[in-house]
Amino acid sequence: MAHVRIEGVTKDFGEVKALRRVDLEIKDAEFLVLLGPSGCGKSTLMRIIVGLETATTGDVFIDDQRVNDLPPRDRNIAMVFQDYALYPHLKVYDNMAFPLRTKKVPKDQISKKIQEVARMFEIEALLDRKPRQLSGGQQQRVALARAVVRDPVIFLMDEPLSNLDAKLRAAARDELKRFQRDVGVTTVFVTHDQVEALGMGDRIAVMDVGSVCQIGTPEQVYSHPVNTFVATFLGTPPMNLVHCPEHILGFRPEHFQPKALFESGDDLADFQFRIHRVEYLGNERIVYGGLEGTFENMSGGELVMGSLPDSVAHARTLEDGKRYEFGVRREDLRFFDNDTEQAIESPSGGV
Amino acid sequence: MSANVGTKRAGGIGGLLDRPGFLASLFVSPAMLYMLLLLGVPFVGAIAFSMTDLNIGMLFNTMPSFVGLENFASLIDDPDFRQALRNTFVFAIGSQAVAIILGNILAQVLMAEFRFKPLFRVLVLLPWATPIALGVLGWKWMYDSIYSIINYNLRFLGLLTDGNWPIWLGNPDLAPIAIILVHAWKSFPFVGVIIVAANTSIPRNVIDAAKVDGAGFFRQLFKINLPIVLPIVTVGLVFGTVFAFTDMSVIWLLTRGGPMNVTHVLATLAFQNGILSGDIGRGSAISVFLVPILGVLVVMALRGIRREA
Amino acid sequence: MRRFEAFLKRTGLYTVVVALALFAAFPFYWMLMTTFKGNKDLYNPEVNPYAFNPSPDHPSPTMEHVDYLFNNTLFAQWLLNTFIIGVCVVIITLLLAVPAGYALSRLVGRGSDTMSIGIFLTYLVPPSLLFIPLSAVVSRLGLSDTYWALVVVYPTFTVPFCTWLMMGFFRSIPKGIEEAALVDGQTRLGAFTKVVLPLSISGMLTVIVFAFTLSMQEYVYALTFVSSIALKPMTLGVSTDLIRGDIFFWGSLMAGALIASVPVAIIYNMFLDRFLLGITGGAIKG
Repeated sequence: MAHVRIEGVTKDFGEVKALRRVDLEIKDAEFLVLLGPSGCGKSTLMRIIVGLETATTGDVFIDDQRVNDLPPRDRNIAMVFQDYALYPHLKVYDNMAFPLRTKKVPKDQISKKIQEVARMFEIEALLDRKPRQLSGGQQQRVALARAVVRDPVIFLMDEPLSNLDAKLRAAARDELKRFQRDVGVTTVFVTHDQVEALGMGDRIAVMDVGSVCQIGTPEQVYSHPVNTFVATFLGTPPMNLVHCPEHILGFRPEHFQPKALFESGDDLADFQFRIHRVEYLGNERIVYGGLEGTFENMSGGELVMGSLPDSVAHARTLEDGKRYEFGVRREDLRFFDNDTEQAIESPSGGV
Repeated sequence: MSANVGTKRAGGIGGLLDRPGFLASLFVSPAMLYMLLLLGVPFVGAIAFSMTDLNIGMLFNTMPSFVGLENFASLIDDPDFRQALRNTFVFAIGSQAVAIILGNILAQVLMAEFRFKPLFRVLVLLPWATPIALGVLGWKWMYDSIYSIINYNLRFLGLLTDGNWPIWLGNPDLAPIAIILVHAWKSFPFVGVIIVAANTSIPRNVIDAAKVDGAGFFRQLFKINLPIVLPIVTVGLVFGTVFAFTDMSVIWLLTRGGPMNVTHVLATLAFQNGILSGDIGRGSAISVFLVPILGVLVVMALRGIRREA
Repeated sequence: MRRFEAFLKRTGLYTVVVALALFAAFPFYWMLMTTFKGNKDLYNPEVNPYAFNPSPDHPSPTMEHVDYLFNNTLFAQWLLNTFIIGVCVVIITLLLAVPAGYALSRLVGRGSDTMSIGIFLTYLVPPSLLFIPLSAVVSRLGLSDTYWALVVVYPTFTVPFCTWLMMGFFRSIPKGIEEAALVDGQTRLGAFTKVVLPLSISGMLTVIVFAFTLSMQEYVYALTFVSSIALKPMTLGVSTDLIRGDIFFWGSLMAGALIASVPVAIIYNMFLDRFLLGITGGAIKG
């Protein structure tokens, strides 16, 4: 249970600027997700927090204590690596005992603690096995158990779910989040998977090319992205961006519906939409097509996507090649500056 | 609840060991120091000695005097030395050439399938897998002036006319051939094995892609096999050539450089002068002649490595 | 026509196989024969050398040469010397090469290529260049005519390659495991000894075998530095001390040579694939 403060941290590897000025605060017991594409610096930031890298400039505080020069072993942080990094030559029991033995915890306490944690993760039966005898999911639980057994004040997890196959992943997500909530340990979770981020984070810090673009709750970053990068990184399919002369217009595919489906009182922006292709994905339909006619002086021809749940009967009637009237609620429209790509308020004057 | 984060400051022994640079230097320095002292220093020493008149009597009680290139000049005037220099090249190039040819044939054989292949492999690698001095002793006995089994075989096969009994190691014309043969015998298994290893290291899918692309046998050989194989083989060959140029054991055990100094090479001559006769200055000068040769080989080796990088 | 072609190819192949095998192995066969042939038989140019030709007072085959070797010469002592030297050289090599290999593989990221080339280059400086100045060093250290001189000098050719072997080996251990150890509370040194070393046993075994066999075979330095018969390693002893005047005791000579060669040959055969992997694997992956 600790809070972390990162102030003005940069990290250079020779010529390469991996982190350009990060300021971040992680609250006590919070589940914070560092989200971003590969190379954005999220792993570097995490490694600076744990102490495997040192910041070039700036400070890292854990519970108001400056830890820049502290080696990892003195920071009381536990880390779960992407490939689990279990000690291949040790049995599961010894893997879990390793950090405790290093801290010279008495033997009987070690044994008690391991039993307790093993029960928590349901790996009691695996204690005598070696890592290579475990399945992916089992290894992941052992990696977590090894982290938990130390009673750390902070958990760091580097894409711990990415090596699991899709089926396991959803279940693992649930288990992990519930576990963190029960134990209440500050957790920093790194991932490039925005679905994971949205589903698990108390707050999400979206990163790109070495800095944090936006930090906020899942709703905040999803509904009010601070720039086009965040807007298109979150959400599948990504937000539609239409280039108008004065600004970039954005709207999410799920807000882009046939006019007929809206209620009469809704304040809508209208679009003429010619469908090129309808893609059936089981639970939803994605319609690909082009905007025709003008809206806000835009010239038309922009390719956009809409997404309609399969439960909507009207969705099944849409055909390739036909033109339809679509709309977006004005409150769901987003605007971005043409040059800076930052979010701007809806432009004043005539829409 | 406090974070219970350690309050130890980085510093002191623990901290020092944590800095990656420090541990690295600590770990590397013994080996580096050792190599510097026992390889680097003597290397420079050899070059230094070659320009003095140092001999073993003077060692540690008298200072040797600097004589510049006098040793070298006197060597170049010495016909025995010139012979040794010639021999060094002839033996090395000759034996390596034979080794390459045989090694190639061996490689082809090793890549084929046939019965008793494991046994063959063990047998054919024996020259490489046994201590050189001991194998050479076997050859010395095979070349014996009276009891040579080689001569016996040749006579048995009718290749020797009566009265003709080659004295391999005593005949100034035959001794070089005898030596080249032994060198080649020692080297060819390694060459063969390296070629095979290099060939098998060509990724399967590269060969398949070439086949799909319609590459014929020769095109595949030159455009694909050779570029990948060559660097590895070059490295192996360079090692073999270095061995051939600098080897002392084979010649010393077979002929001691004789008969009449005809089969000396730089290495054996240096030994005779520098160690046996104690003329350190002259002996060093002789071995120094090896340096440019090795330099050229080093450059070739580096090119071989670079090309593959 | 096809069948005949195939047959020709097959015959050709087997001919080459036999020829190569003969060329390579014949000396050893001859050494074997010589070991067991009685002197009367051996030194008789009239009889068939490929058979054992006993005479009434001289049995053939015979164990007399082997007996002589073990009972009338210091052969057993030479074997012991070689063994002691080998063990010491292995220990020194491990102490120098394992940490160096680790440092070069882990902690020095760039410039490791330069290191590899540097290591490779040390093998191009041969004993026949170094033995003269080294003999001065050896005298200075008071090690003349002892086999400790060899123990000091042999690592010059075992350490570079073994460092390189260990380098490649350590590289194959994922960095994540070491970092996990650091996060779990170890110092870097602790991570090395508790996690990395236990996983490198296989590599160290290769180093041990390689260093031991290399030092078993060496001849030039031994010839240069050791003169007392009792102190000679086996390669030197067999080649210089089975001779009285200019009479070679061929029987015992060959016996000694053969006995001394066998262990090395066996070990090399067992580990051939590993060595090759070390050489070519390292070369390919750079």
